[in-house]
Amino acid sequence: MTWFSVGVEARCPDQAPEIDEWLLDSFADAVAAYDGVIGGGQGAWDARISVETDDADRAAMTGAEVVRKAAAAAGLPDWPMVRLEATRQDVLESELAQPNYPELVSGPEAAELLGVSRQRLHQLAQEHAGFPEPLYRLRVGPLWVRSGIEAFGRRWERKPGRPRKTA
Amino acid sequence: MGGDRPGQEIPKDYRKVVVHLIDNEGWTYRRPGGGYPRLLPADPAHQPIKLPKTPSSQRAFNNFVAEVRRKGGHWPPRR
Repeated sequence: MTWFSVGVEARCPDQAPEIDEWLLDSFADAVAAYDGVIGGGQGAWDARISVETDDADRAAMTGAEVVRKAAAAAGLPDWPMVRLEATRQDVLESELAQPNYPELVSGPEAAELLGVSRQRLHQLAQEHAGFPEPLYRLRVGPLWVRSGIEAFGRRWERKPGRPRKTA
Repeated sequence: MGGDRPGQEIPKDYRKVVVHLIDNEGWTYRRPGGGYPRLLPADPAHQPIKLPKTPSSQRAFNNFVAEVRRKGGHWPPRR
């Protein structure tokens, strides 16, 4: 038997009423024995609990059933489930140990990674079809995902010398 | 708009994450008179998260962090 973290979300299919706080508090109490965390408010509620089962399929089924029963016991609306995922505990732990910020680079840093001048970087960004799109365009300049620039550097076929002049 | 600051009413490991999210990512914390405190994501499209008032297991904490990340929060900090 292995521990799995199971995430469940239910949403109201049409109008989006606000869920009473005390119902959500009861829901939190109902899943506490399953190491649960819950959320909810306008037209939706969700929960993530831990269950011990043989595999991810069973974890998802068991987890969904536990959450449904807890939601019903707490008096939450019986809305359709829109999300169900099961993650093995050790897999979740290794994911959570890694920061989930994208690693970003500015123009000068991207130029340094590619070994080109800032002017050449600007030219590549403007003219090369395979150059990555910036994740953000700020007033101080664009920011790229570092791994995108590194990947471009690996696949970019550099042509030495000045580009040929066209008529 | 403003919001509350978390204190002794939530476990220390949770408090660390909540303070980071409030100070750096625009999340809001609400401490009700009774019931569980709420953590509101910066993106209002995501539902608020209820926080425990007593220390919980490592699995419960992992479930909390997984939900924070799913709702647009970042943890752990890069540095």
